[in-house]
Amino acid sequence: MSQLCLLSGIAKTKRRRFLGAASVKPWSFIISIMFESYYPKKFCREFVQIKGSGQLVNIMATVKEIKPAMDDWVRVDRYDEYRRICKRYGLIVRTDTVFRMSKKKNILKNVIGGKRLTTTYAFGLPFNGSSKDGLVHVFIAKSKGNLENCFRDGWYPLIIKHRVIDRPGIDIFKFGYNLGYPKCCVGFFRQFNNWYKYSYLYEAFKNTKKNRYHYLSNPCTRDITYSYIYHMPCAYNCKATIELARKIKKAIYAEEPEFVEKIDRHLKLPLLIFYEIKFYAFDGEIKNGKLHYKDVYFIGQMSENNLYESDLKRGNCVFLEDRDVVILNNGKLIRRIRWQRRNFAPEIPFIVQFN
Amino acid sequence: MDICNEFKNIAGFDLSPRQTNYISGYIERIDSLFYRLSILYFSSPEKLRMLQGKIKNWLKEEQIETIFSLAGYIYYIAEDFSQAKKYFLKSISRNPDNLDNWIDLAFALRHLGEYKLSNGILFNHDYVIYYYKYLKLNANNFSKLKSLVLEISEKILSNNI
Ligand SMILES: [Zn+2]
Repeated sequence: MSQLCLLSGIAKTKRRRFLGAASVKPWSFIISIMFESYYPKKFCREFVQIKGSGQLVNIMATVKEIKPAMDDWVRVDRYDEYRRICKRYGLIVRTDTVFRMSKKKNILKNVIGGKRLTTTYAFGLPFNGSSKDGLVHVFIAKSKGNLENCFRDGWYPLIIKHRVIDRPGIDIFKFGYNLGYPKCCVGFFRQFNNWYKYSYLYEAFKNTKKNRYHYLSNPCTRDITYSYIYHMPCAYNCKATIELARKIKKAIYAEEPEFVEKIDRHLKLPLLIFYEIKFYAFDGEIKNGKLHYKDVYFIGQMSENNLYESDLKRGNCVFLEDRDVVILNNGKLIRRIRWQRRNFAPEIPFIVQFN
Repeated sequence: MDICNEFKNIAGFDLSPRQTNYISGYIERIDSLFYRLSILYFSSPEKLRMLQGKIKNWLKEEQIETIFSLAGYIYYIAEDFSQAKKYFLKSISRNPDNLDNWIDLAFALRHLGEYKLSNGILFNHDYVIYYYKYLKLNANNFSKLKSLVLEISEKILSNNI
């Protein structure tokens, strides 16, 4: 995912900041903070204290047994604490390997298969007490059977001895089922998770009837706390995804109603999507195919992918002309981002708002 | 009809001769058979069942790395990991220099709950291949291979390499 986009727990460089004071524009929210870490009042708060809120919804859904199992990444020196918290919530834990994160540029030159890595660049070590730093990859579940299934299919691509070591394709495909993802979405993933050919988010967009973009199937905020789903849906109105998200929403609402309100608000922000790890959220609205906005947030992965935030911040309107992205400020051209063909990780920009 | 034709008639793609992924070759896995069979399992499960029915005969006809690996993959996909392990070990016997055979074995072992052994191979594949050849092990020496892998893992850990 990107290996079913399973890397929600890994620290990623993201932009999160305060919005300015509410403006008088009609579409403005009367709120102040977007994309900040969320601290629950009680339920699962301990997890956030040791590792941030990136996977909070996922953990809550696993505690509530709506999800059969999940995987997570925890700092090696916080692992014992993490395990104790899991126990308190009735979760069992299984550890796999240790990830030592690196930079993309270090990997591409020196690692066999490095070009195939898409979202996570990490050297692998066994978790045996010898590693004092890095992130340990863990699996958690309420039942031992679910935990074992998830663990066995759950190896994540890692660099060992200057070579990317990955699990067999069959394990990757089955892993989605172990995590409780809908069958239709796992099937779609099998078909379109090809970074040489497809822009996955765009394929799901194409697979959705116009203006049927349901906020419960918005996957774009999943790495930054505010989403009910952690998989890539087959369509932005996928029934099974909406059903799953609804169950999770209901369970969280019973524990943390304010959190649900915040998640919903984030899910409905308009988005400019380039590809799977490069996209922006806006405080604004779409009118006649143009996105008018007063603030912008990079919510993709890795700061090196944040190429356009400064231009977007200088503007207040963005739209697509063919595949070019045009940024205006009060009608004056700020920048035209020309579309380019790429042989790996193709970008097909589109603007979407989930409602 | 020979095995390659029979295979192609069922699977719809060629059974190419196994390609060796040498550690010293500094290349990725080229052999895409495992991946293509995995896709086939989801798109046409009946074809996988047909291949499963055929593989026993093919194993009688040809005892070569390509057929052993094919058998390993078919059993792995069918979640018969003991059989998969058996045939991956035979592939290794035929061609211990092929890193792909070792990675395949390591993941079959992971599914069998042999986690330490699996990791021992994945993290120390270069040492394992070297000593496997040095000690002239084969598919019938699994317990020796197991001791070897665990010993290498312990030595590496104690030296903190
Ligand atoms: Zn779906």
